Amino acid sequence: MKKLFINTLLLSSAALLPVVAPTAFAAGEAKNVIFFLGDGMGPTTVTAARIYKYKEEGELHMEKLDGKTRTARVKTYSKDAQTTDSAPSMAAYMTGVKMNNEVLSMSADTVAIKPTGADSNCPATSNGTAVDTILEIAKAKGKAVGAVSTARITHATPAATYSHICHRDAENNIAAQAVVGGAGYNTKLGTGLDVLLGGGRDYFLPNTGVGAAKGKRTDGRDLTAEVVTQGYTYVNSGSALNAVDGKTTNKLFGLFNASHMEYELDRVKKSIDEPSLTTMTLKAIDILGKNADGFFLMVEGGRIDHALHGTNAKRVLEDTIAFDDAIKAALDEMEKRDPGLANTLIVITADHDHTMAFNGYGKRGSDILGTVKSYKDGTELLDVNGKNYTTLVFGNGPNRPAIRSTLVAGTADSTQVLHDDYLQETGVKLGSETHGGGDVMLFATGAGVASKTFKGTIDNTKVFSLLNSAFGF
Amino acid sequence: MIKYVIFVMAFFVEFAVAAPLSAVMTFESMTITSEGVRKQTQFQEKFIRDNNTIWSERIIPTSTKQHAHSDHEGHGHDLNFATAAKWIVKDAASQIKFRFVRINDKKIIEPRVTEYETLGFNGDWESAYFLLNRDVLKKMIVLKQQSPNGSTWYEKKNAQEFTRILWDETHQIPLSIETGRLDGTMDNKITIAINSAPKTLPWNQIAQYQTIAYEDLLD
Repeated sequence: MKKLFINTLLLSSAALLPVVAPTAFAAGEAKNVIFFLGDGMGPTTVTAARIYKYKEEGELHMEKLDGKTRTARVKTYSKDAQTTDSAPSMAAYMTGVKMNNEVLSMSADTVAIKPTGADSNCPATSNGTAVDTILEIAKAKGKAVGAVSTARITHATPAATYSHICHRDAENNIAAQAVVGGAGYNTKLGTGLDVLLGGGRDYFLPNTGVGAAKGKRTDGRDLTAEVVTQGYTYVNSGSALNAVDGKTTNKLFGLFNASHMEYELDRVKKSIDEPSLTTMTLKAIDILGKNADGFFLMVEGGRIDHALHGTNAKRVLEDTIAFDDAIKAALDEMEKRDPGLANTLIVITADHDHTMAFNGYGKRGSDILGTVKSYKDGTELLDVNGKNYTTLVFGNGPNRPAIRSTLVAGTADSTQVLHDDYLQETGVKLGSETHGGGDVMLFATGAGVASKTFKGTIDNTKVFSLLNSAFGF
Repeated sequence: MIKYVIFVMAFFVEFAVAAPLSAVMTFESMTITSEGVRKQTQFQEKFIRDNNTIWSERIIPTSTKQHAHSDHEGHGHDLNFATAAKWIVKDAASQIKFRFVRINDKKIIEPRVTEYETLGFNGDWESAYFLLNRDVLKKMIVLKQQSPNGSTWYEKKNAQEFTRILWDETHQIPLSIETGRLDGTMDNKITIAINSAPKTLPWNQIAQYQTIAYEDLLD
């Protein structure tokens, strides 16, 4: 009876909390926020990556957070689309505003206008207004801020943190918004981003340059030189990043590829001199963590999405594991700096799903990239025409053979399903595999009760208000 | 003297192979499903090769309605390269470059080397240039059956499947490649018909095309 009474009391208190004291528990506890975004990392990708690396019974690091109780589902639709693209979905997380597809961190009335090449055609007025991002708000409150991605740093996800534009493809303008003191700089960033690491060098270099110095800018500017004059350390290789001392560096720009950075599988197998996502994340924490008022850091596993569009499941899973490893590294590092993550909120989510699906009924322990083998006797399961099929397939995309053939679970060449370059088959034949409109998962930990506010099925715009509240803004 | 003869022979072999070779490839496949349905497909591609260049391109019947390759799927892009020409070039340093060409769009799509194999090119010049790796012929038996001048039939089979190739020694190209099941439920055949090369080779007509990166189509 006593137990029942206590339970009732707790329930009553919990019900009252949001009304009576909305900030007493949830707000003001997060000095630092690290926001991890797996681009396109829908639930099937999470499950497949778990099995790929840790078997069915195992767990990804992102799944181990905080007793597994801080998992939410996030609705991802945009203002005009049932299925979003990365621009409005990430912008919803960063601003709390639901906007149209292609639009980055602008008001809901903004219409996407396609650029010419990478140069914006957005009118200066009469097409919406910029809305503050959580990164900009954090900067204004004295926090150090940064963004890290394996995609181009001017690509939709990282761009949504620090820029405002009516179309995501205007990457020359997006790059200019990150460069302190230059034409087109986003003054909402105050003294500027403290860390920016990723790919996309082309949008920082003039198209009149020669060789490696040739980029896509049509205004003749070399933004990599401009940031150096503004006091930034600029690096363009993994070895150069390793040589940066985070304890003595306060402003860091790193652009490690002309376009997107390499997939993790290629980076490792071909020993390409680019940093891992883990290395970039830890370097960013080194630099941002020196600020006494704390920091906001966004980390994107940007190429998960690209491999999904290409229906190449192996690279999807390799990049997802690299993303998960970066989460583990950040957790360990922040645990050292802030024991128990008392004042550090870590949020992990995706911006949208894809159409990757998981076929049955495979035997436990089967290779997730392989063909489906019966859980009863391990024999190949066959379609109605007597052909075997892979566990992972896609709802749509370019790889729909006119006549299906028997698949070989080998690695001899890219027609064999375990080869690095095998492309999974698709249902509906489309030119490109599309995003999916299903909900995505969100995991959170740290900062006391702040992480506990991420629960239930929530709209993507709600994530912004929870971040804002956790920071105590 | 022997060295000189070998050099001259090598020169003529190289000369014979090097001249622009043009052909039409007809791809046919047939399968009989377990539901008793016979499915057949057929399409054709142009194939042209010169010393250091290979070009193949789907032949589209004029009555077929073509899609535009713009952003007709929202932010999505068209990654279906079935109707794009495949353009492979070997440079003086034997570095191989693989690209797609969309004639209707006047666009060249350039993948990274690490993306070649996911796009159907394994980087093997021999297989692309000769349409097979000629070493496979050494592992096949010669069939004593009639064949066009300068060509030979080869075969390899086991209890279930067969591969049959008609190899044209003069032009260094197969005239037929056929694989199938001996029970008749599946058959794939490529027939190569040599024709006269066009006066202007296709890769000499694309200088004004816009080049874009394959990865720009991936988001």
